[in-house]
Amino acid sequence: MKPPSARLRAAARALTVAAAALCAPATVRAETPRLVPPAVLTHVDAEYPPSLAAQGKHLDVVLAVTVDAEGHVAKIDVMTSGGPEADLAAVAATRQWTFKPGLRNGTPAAMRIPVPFHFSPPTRPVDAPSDDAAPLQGGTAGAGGSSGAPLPSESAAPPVPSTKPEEAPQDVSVFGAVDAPTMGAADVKIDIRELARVPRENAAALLKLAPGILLTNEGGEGHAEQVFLRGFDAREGQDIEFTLGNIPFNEAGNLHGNGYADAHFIIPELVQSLRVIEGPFDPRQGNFAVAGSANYELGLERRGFASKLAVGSFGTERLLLLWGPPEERERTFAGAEIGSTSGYGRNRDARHATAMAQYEGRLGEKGLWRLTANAYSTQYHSAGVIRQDDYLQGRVGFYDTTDARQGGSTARASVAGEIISRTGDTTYVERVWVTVKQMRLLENFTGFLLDTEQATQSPHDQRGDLLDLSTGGVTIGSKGAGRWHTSALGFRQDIELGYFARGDVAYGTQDRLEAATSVPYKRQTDVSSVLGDLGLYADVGLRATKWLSLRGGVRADLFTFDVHNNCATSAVAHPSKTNPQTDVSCLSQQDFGRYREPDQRSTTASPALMPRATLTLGPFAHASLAASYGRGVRSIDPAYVTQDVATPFATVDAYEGGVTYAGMLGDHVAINARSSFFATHVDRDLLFSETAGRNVLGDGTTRTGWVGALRLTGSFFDQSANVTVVKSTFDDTHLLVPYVPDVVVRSDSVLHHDLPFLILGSKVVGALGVGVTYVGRRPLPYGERSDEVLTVDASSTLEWRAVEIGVTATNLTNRQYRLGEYNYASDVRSQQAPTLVPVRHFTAGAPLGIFATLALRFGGKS
Amino acid sequence: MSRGAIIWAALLASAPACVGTTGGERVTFTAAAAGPADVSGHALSFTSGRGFHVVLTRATLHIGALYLNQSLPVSGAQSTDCVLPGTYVAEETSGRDIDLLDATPQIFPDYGDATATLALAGEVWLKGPGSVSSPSDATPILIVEGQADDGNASWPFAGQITIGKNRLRPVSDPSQPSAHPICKERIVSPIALSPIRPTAGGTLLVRVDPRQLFVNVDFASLKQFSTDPPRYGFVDADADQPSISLYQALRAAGGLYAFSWLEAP
Repeated sequence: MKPPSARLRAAARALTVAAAALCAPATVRAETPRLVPPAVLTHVDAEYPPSLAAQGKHLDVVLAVTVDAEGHVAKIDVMTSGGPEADLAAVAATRQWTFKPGLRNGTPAAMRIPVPFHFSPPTRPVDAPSDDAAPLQGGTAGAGGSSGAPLPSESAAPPVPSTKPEEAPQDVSVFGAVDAPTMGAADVKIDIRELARVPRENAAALLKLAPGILLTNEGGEGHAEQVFLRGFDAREGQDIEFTLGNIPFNEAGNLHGNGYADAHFIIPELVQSLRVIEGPFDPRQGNFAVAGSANYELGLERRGFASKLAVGSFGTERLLLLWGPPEERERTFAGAEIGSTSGYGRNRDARHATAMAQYEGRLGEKGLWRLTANAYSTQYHSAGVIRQDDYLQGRVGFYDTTDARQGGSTARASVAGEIISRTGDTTYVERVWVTVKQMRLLENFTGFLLDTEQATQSPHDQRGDLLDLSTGGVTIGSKGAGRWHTSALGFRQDIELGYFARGDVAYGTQDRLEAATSVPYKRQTDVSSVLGDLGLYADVGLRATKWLSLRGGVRADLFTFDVHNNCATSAVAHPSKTNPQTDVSCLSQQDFGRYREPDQRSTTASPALMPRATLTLGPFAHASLAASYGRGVRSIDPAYVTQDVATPFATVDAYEGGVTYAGMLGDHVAINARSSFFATHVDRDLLFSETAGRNVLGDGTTRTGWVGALRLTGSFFDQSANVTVVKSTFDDTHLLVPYVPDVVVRSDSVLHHDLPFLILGSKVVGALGVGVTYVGRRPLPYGERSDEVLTVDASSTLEWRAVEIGVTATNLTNRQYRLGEYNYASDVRSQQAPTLVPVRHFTAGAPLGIFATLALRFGGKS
Repeated sequence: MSRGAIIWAALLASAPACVGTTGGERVTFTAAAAGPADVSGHALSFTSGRGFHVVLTRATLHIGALYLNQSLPVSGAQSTDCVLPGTYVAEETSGRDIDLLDATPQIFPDYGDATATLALAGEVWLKGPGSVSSPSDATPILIVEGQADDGNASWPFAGQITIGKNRLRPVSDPSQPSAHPICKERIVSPIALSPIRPTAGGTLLVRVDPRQLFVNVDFASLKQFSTDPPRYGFVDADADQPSISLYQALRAAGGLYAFSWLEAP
């Protein structure tokens, strides 16, 4: 290994092709569009030729690199010469690179790609540390859009002519995007690829590939997963900014949870990559990025037509159709699925349908545009929670329910457009979107506890606590950015300025339903809101030396609220004695019967300023050290808005320090590892309230912890594992925050290889995927801890020609486990007298499920 | 960074992660009720507040449930709910009949649930197996038998109290049709107590002194049901002074019921 002092300030601009392939959002344009180009796993910097240092010239070299099916550099040709010395330097460096092999129709294949190098003259003596030898890839190129938005790569290299048309490797050129700038050790970019073989219930479950994430769901198949991340109980996304192709899908103003994010509308087979930033460290991150953000990128690698049928336990059926026009790029696709299940145990039936389509086209020589549309609808029932004492005494079964009316429905549709273009040294991106959504949710956490008889009501018994929540609205948004880069101090420097504008028209009602008749007897909430979020940010990438870079900036958002409360008064101290509004939920009387309108409007607005920065040292021997700080906010639930009172944000301050490593283990195994320590403080955390059926504002909390992750990728296997330990405490009492797991371990393993026999002359590819989740004993209120959770899911597939058959087993060990556990008071009338003391409740995890899959693929060019 | 350093750092970070508590504790306990400690299990003789000498030969109380609450409502606070506004600390919901002439703790069928939180108020729910808010409940809550005399005359008596439709009170304010719900008749609350913090395996004991039931009863006003032999009795309604006094005494939050906590041996 060369000491830094021996490195020249050589070159670094390189690799449009490889960089784009390396980075997840890369878009491929190839002569045969079903190709996936090789991706760089490791690289070695080229050195500025010492003999030319005195001349101080900028030199450009373009190599044609042949990467074989094993990912090795098989051949290098000089396409554009920068002179013998520069050519040799570039070739010498490139010979040491390793690649993830390119794919032709999903099969590794030799390909030839152009690799440009740009040699910048040293600004100091030639033995000084250099930087520019680094290729142009996500972390150093500094490209990026909002929240990880891909911007176009710097050039579209022409195809390289083949020397042997029949046997030569496939020539590809790449047009697409380089990844967003990395934000330190908390920035997790996950290329799904073979890990897609590990069984996952839905697209939300892909989040478990990121360290420290636990998903639970007490609301049913159609209900968004509750996400725990690094000690945060982010509920259904309220503390995580979720985006799909950089388009946000957190629902501002959702009555169930401001920021509710349901990823069930995403077809998991269309997810190509996932980027999770576990903290508010990127100026592009906006509202709800308290615990962090997650961005899904879609694409369909295998072109042609594919269908997949899955049937199995619990009456589960799922039919999936995918279409990727062979003549188009992988970002152009259409997919639809329809599914249903009776569910395990009682009251868990569900049915859903979803459709997604995207078209990507070229915009001039260096631009592109995309149009994405999706629609989703579901209806389901939910078992909710049951009391532990009822289960232990045999009054209910483990998979039973205590209120079979629980469940809900969701419908959403959205359209998004995106334009990316480049002029000179500046790249522009613009996105617009419209989303329409509606959801209904029926939940009963407390049974018959909350409907106490009030003096102003007609005499009644407890009528039942079933919540009937209906919420929805329309979102219109736009976001854009321009990034300009230049060279200074001998290194690439860049700055990005961007904006974010979003408007939401949201409404919500919440009623309580009578147990005997399901008739609404009390309206608790009736709110309609117009919410605005206008944000500006600046993100700067500065590199002072080869081993020192600083990235960061500031973001400012203005949140506006116009809240129309249609049920402003539900009780008065002195009701009219002559004309009382008995049993009326939303009163039109004040004290002593004076008239008032039942509604009232409140408006307010508040700005938030959020600095964010990441300092990176390295790489040193493939390892980089990074320290990050960031501030994020979560706007409040409109129900908390008071006229002209400054909006009380939830503000998080996050600190992170860690090391990342990317290198090779031997000649064939790529290794990526990270280890980081973190601390976060939230001034107003969200805490679960069983009476409200959702999270409500609580006190300040602090989290400290450590996360470690490792991914090993070889030609026949892919292994990802991560561990997170965290301690979350309240600031005032220093007691643990209940429900958030303090230990989460996740492992995803995939083996895939050609089997040693042929069928009808065609090879058979076998694959085995295993996912293991371990969650430590979570702290519960009243000093208790939950049970551990340990689940093993596995799948096995055989692929022959256009046919793939598979078997998937979830909860392979058939371990009976409690997915969620809670301590609070409820009364489900299982005892002679009301139960008013907090006791253990739980939601049952799914038992062993066996599912068979049959997939057919045709219509793609081979 | 060496691999060893990373491992040590991980261990260092994980060490505090699995420790700590959210505070508090949930416990189960035994609930019991009994007559006062000085009763012998046989007839109880005493002089009432009105000067009657009473020999009580039977006193059976049905307790539907027991509760402890962490807060004692401030004086003057008018709670419209049947349950206290604070957090409930302990509950025993299985219910049973209690012989008030027996000082031996009589155990409730099921264990009670509690949190290890300081309780300042108790509740005794006088109800049968149905809903506390249902007007219909024919469960005999209190059964008494005995004889009273004032030196000049004697009144062999018997009585039974139920709390159902017979205890419904008319609505006087149309703006508050539920100002007097039936549940309020059945719940004796709040009963002030010396602070109790439930502990695992402990026993919540409620002693009920039947002498307090007759403090203000004018036995001379008892309704006579038969003359040969002479039998007097309490009416299961707000019909006369003795019946009203007995019913009010049954529901009095002070004096009749005494909560205590017995630690596990």
